[in-house]
Amino acid sequence: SMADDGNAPGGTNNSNSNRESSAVGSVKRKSLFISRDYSKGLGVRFDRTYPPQLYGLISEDEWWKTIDKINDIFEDAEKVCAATVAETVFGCLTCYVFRCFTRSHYEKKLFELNEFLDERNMEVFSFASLRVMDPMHRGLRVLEIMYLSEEETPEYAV
Amino acid sequence: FQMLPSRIGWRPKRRKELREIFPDIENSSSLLCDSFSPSEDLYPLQSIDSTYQNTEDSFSSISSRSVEELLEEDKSIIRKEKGRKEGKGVAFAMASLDTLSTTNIIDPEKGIHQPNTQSAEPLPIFSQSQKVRKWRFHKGNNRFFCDGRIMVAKQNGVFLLTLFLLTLTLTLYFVFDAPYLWEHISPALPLLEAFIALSTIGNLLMTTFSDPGILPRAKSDEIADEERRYYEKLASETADSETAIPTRNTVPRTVQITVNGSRMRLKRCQTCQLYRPPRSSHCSVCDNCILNFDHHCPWVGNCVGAGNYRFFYFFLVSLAFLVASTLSGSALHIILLSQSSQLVDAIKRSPSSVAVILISFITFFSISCLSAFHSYLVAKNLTTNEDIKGTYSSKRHPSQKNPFNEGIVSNCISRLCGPQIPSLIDRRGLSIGVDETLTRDRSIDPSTVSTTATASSFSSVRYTNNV
Repeated sequence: SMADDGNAPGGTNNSNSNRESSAVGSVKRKSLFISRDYSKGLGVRFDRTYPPQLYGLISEDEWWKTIDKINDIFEDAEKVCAATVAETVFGCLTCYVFRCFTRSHYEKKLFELNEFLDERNMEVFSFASLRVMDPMHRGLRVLEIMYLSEEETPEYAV
Repeated sequence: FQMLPSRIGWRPKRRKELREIFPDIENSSSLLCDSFSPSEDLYPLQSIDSTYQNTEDSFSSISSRSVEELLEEDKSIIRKEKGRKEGKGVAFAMASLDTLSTTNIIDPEKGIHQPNTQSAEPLPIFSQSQKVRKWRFHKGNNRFFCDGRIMVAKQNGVFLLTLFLLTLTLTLYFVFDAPYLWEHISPALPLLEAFIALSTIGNLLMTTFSDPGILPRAKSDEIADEERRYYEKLASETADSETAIPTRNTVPRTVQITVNGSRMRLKRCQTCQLYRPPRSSHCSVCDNCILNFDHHCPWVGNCVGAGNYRFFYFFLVSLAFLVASTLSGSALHIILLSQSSQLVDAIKRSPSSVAVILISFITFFSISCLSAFHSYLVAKNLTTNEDIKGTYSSKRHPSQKNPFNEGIVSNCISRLCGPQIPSLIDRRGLSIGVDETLTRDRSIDPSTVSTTATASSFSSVRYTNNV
């Protein structure tokens, strides 16, 4: 079994002080978290405001291009369209056996999102030693932008 | 450098360089940036950047090589990166520069070596055979089968009763009543019944075994970030006054937001350490926060939420039809038999029909009432939770309007025929065993496996062999 220093991340709320000390013990991996924007409903949408921490690293235009495209992809994924109605109807008719063989509309959009994030990371964010992480890692609660250290910056970003 | 010619006017600052000039850049955030007005050059530090001047020299070295050579080098680097990403197993994946793990690096050439980081304690290394699926670290009261593919809630007794009743009634019907109806009335009746029965059982199993929309709990770096932001906000607000700043590790209990024009409060879930999205609730039976929480149904053995509401609704509707058709079929059987002889003789000839009629009759009213109620909820775009609490009831809260109500037809379509959100808890993803994610399950499309880990703290969940 592994080291158990009594820290319980996310599980209990009584070891508040331990959380700070554990961050000191391990690598200080900093991330920037963009929270969800519920102003237009429950659909997945991230806060569009330009984070001040990115000042000097990523231009505002690049930021807005990235975040708007992410929000657009999620809006497309959550739209009710012919594909989703067909999925529901065929699923019902075939007793959901149909689902084992096909990828749902939402999952296809998530792959598209990942391709877009990989492309943006390669073209823009890695040059600033940043990396936009897939929001599914965080359960679509927040969008995480990770600060890369020297060893982690990819070779082409120098 | 190969990419530099296309970005000649602007080069993003390296974090390290900024940190040298402004040591507090990570903490000061908005306070620092306010000193540069947006109308100025967005990157005023370029003029004093020493590395920018160095690139003048490297330009001459680049220009001597042809574009084709540069492109080839570019491609080979990207190929190498991709090759590392699709690495063989956990241990080799951690050797890639793209992975942000803080564990010991197992480099195929160099062997095991420590990364040059500030980490004090290395995390244990797990070999290929010890990769574990993330469902083992799930903190709610759910049980998992088939290596994470199927999940159910903790208490399943009533669900087994439901299954038992269903199978019993259907077996009796199809063995005794169906052949008679097939011959004497028409084969359509048993076939229709069979179709509805399949639909009912399929929807029931999907409701029980699928993820109702569980929200994964927040990790410690998110919580620390929220605390830090709140602390900074309070610090900037009370900077002028003399009031003491509260202790660092607090976050506000509720957060005010606006959804579609109406104001709402998001409550903090103490167990899951996150702000619950609107319409979500924490189920005490399953110990999870569920998106669009409807209710916890013991008959189905699972919570009903965003992920499985449509299955639950279709199950109710098809069960109502099933009960109706079983009742009518068995009653028809008895009536037809009693036409030729007396009622008592008819019952003696087919005693199972009586049992079927009894069970169907008892359940018919409750099931049809429940399906009518849920049809009403779907039409008004309410959850059972909201209906019980009277959140949007015109009597209790006349001023609060339901911001999700878009008209009957679009409510029905969006609730029942909307997209199926995949499971947010990623039960079948692989973990290095420290409650930190390593890969996301991409069993459908393995070329997009991402090998990143956010190892910022240890977990108190121990990995043992007996789960």
